[in-house]
Amino acid sequence: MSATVLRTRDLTKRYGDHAAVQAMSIRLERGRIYGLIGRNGAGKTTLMRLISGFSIPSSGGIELFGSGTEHPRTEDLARIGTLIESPSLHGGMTARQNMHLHRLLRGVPDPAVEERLLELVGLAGTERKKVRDFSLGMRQRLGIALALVADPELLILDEPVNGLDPQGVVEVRRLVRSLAEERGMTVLISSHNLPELFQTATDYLIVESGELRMTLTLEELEAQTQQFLEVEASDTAALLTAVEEAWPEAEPRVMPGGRVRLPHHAEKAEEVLRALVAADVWPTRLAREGESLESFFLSVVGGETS
Amino acid sequence: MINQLRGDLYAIRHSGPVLLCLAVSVIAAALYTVLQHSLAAGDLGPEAASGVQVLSDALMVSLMGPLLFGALVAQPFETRSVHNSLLASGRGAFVGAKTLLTAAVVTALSLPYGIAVLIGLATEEEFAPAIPTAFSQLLAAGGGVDGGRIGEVLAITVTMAVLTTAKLSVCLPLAFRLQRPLVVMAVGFVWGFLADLIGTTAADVEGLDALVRLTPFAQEHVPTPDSSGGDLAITVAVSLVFIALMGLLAWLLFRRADVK
Repeated sequence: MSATVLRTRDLTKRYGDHAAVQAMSIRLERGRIYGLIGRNGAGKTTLMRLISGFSIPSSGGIELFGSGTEHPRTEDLARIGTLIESPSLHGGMTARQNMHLHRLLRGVPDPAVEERLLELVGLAGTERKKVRDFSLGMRQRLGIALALVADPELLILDEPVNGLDPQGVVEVRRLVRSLAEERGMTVLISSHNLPELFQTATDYLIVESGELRMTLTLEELEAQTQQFLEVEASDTAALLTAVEEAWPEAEPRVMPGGRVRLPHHAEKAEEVLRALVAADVWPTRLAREGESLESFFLSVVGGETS
Repeated sequence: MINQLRGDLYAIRHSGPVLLCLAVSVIAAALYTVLQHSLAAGDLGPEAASGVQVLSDALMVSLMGPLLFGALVAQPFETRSVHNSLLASGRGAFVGAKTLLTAAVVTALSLPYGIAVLIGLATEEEFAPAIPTAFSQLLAAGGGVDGGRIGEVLAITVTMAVLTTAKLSVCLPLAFRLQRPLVVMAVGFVWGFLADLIGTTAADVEGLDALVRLTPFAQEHVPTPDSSGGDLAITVAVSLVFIALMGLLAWLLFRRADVK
């Protein structure tokens, strides 16, 4: 079984003169959770719709599940589950009836999947309630359950935590992680909630103006957004010695100009100051530095930081 | 396509507009028959005939047919249930299933009128046609019910139903193109009333008349109690081919269309 679930080549979608997605080439691997980050109108939803076959590319290709063709076949698309923009729900039906309808549409023979998925998303006790009376959060949960009805290998979720309360957000995060870790499902998930995405995804795709600006793993993103303590002293060698004696595991990094970065001491400025003074090293500068998620994102997409 | 049909049939069981249309059709057919008897018996004056016409199959199916095309074909684009359908079955199967299903359901709208005719004939009462549709003419002809009569009424009923569905089947490509139920319904209503007029006008234009005969809009295809079995068979064939062509056109329009 191919480890590459999705590969796009120069994928482009134009509406008249406007390119909603432009020459985007991405690759998604099995069992990973990809956070799709971008401002409104950056092309996130259009990309998801192209992958799902709901929009037709203007140019470029999409290869699903290592099929060898850049024109997705029906049997390949059947291995995808989606929740794009808003859940596909029949308001006059109950959650169970919606599940039943989508199970029939997907040709899933096992009726037990309906109850199992409703339990999974916390809607098992809503037998009599029509979906039109559901809260936004309940609709989102049901939308996720419907996307899972055919046990997809690639799950595409567009803003799935919209309208969810904090508890619901945590539950969706756990669910997405378990799907990837336990079932090897690949998840492409978009959200405006950067900290939430930071806690959920294993990889990130940053898009802006229809273009892919950056791809990076969680580790790379953590490195980019890590907070650290930066210290300067007239005698850099003495500074390093004092730090290493006090904290052998401190992993100090000497930057140009003799600035010393302490990656594990961002919250320990007072302790560091005491240790340095005790060692007769007098800092000329001591500050907590590092980019926040938001400022890093804005620096990539070219926005203004506050 | 089977999965799509199974899903659609399940959805219809829980769909207010579809069940409502079928119920309205049954009630309208019954009322229409009773009121035509009242016209014949003199309980209603001739001036009431124009009011009774509103309940005729010609008007009711023209009104409810587009509503069903909107509800069954365009509505899934609004609710986005089309997403799971397309992922599961693909676009060709989706169009095929929708063509079969809407044709069957819209055809079913006319069937209560045929059954009402049979019941009316069985009463051996008199009926006066409020509007000269095939059903009204059959009722007015009277003559009781026997095996041959039942066969005749059923043949004309099915032919009329399929013909009406074929005329309205232009809503099918429209629904796939527009993907908006209300617009499909509105255009379908207007089309329902204009179609025969356009067909009749086009039939009078030299060169176009032969072409119109190949469509369900030719006046000669409208069944009457005098239509032969061959006439009815030709009408059904023309209608089914036209519905299939509309399905094909719908697929061509939808094959590479963006879905909301």
